[in-house]
Amino acid sequence: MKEMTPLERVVATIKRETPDRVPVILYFQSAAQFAAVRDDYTWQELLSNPTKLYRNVLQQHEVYGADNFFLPLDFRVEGEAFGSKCEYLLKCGGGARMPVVTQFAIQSKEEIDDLEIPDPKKAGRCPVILEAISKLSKKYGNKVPIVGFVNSPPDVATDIIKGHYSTVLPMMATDKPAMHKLLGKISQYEIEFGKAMLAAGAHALATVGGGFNNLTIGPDQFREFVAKYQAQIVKGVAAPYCFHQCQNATPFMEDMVATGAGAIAFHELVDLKWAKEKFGSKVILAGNVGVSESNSVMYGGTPADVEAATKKAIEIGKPGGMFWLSAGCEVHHALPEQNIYALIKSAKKYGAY
Amino acid sequence: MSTETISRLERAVLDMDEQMARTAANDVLTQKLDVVGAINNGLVKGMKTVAMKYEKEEIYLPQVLASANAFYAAFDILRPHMLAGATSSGKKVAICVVEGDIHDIGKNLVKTMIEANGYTVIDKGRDCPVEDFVQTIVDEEPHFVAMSTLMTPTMKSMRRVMEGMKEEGVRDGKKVIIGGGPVDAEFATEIGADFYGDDENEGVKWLKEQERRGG
Repeated sequence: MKEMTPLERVVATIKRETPDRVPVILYFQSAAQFAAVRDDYTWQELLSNPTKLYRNVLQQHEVYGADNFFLPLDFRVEGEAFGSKCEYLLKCGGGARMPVVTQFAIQSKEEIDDLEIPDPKKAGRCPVILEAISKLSKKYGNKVPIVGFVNSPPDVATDIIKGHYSTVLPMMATDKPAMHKLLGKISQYEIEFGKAMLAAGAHALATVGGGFNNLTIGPDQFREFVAKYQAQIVKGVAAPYCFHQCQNATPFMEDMVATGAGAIAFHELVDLKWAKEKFGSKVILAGNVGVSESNSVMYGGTPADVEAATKKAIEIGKPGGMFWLSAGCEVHHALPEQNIYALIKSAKKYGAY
Repeated sequence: MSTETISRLERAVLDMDEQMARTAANDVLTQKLDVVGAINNGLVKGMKTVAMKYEKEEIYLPQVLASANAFYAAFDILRPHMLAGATSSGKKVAICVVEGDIHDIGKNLVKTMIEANGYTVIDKGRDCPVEDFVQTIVDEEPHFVAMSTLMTPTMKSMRRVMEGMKEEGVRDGKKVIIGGGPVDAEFATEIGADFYGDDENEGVKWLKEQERRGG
């Protein structure tokens, strides 16, 4: 089969056609630090300057060979748009690499009523993201999928209200009306932010649900506070969408599929074989070479180990199509860089249809 | 002792009702009830039920943290009236989320359960610089050291704390427990910690076991 462009490859999977090979779709986030160090950018410079962000994100495809671009690279964009203030910790190597909210937009749930929904074309760093997407689109818009990242509404809530998770989690138990009001406002904003990224040139959107996972909430809470709002966003933006859930999403997979997202992605704790059998004909599955656990292959293995794990994932996911090879979560900066190369190289080696 | 007031303390924790907890705590003082008894038979009893339900996955962190808020709403009122050391063995626990990580839900949960079981907790919060935490261990001489992280990259901060404790000569005589999503018993052994706790209940059980053994 003639070699496809990454965009043709991904579109083929979305249309349920056979691509030339399995696409490699990555959430390239804090691993951007490798390139930032080479380019001598601090995180703050990288995330605040559209040209630097553009140059960095380019490397996801041009240097590493991923079949997509993914941005923004951090989780704080929406919280800042709502008015929270961040500080950047410079000790990148220790893991304190992303902006951290130090001043919250609202101090208590009593202020939710007055919380204004920002304009994504003006608020916080959103204009930086939109400009970077526009630059990527000019160069790669007809070749490589540009995926805009929309943070999960409950995670955004923790960046808006003082107390972070310690405020938001109990609210889910003791003040559901306030919680829903806040999540409703965030989702409204996310739809507009998503549409703005699409208008700037993004081909698709993705959400990486982080803190509200099987370690923190149960299936009913996931349905009520996560999936419900994710479904609203998917419907509201009306674009190709990938929904990733961190940690062990096994109990939530039915609800993830029910959001209407065309693809779902999941952590290495989910059994890929089980997911393929149960959901493989309903949605595109993206997964799930180990990247997050202390014993994960991407973190602690050799390139040869990564190749073996990638081969195994492709053997499970590839038959019948509707599969993107991905890491179990974000591609992060504590990984040996050679393992990122190994993942992508192996996917190309074993992924041909 | 007024069992009705004590029952209200327990009920407040189970119902996640901070206002009820404050009212009941003030009633304990007004009625001049035994404060330690009220804490143990009301608040701690309630939290133990909450922990049991959590363990059985009947409830999840939103309810547990809301119950913990009710627990502290009452406990903060009653604490100044406790006789020093009356409910605890006098053992101190230094706890933190290690440098680089800001996820503190699990740490707060562990802290609540440790405190509810009568230990004195020195809480160094989240993203605690390695050097600060080691200095706290030097200054406060806790019997137990507890660290958590939810992220793989920050596991190395735990190792640095262990190294710092050795360098400062404060490793001996202290038991170290670690917890959090990416770590496990193997990692605990690798860095020289004494125990990996899968959850707060396991952690508290281990602390008590160490005490029983004279640790």
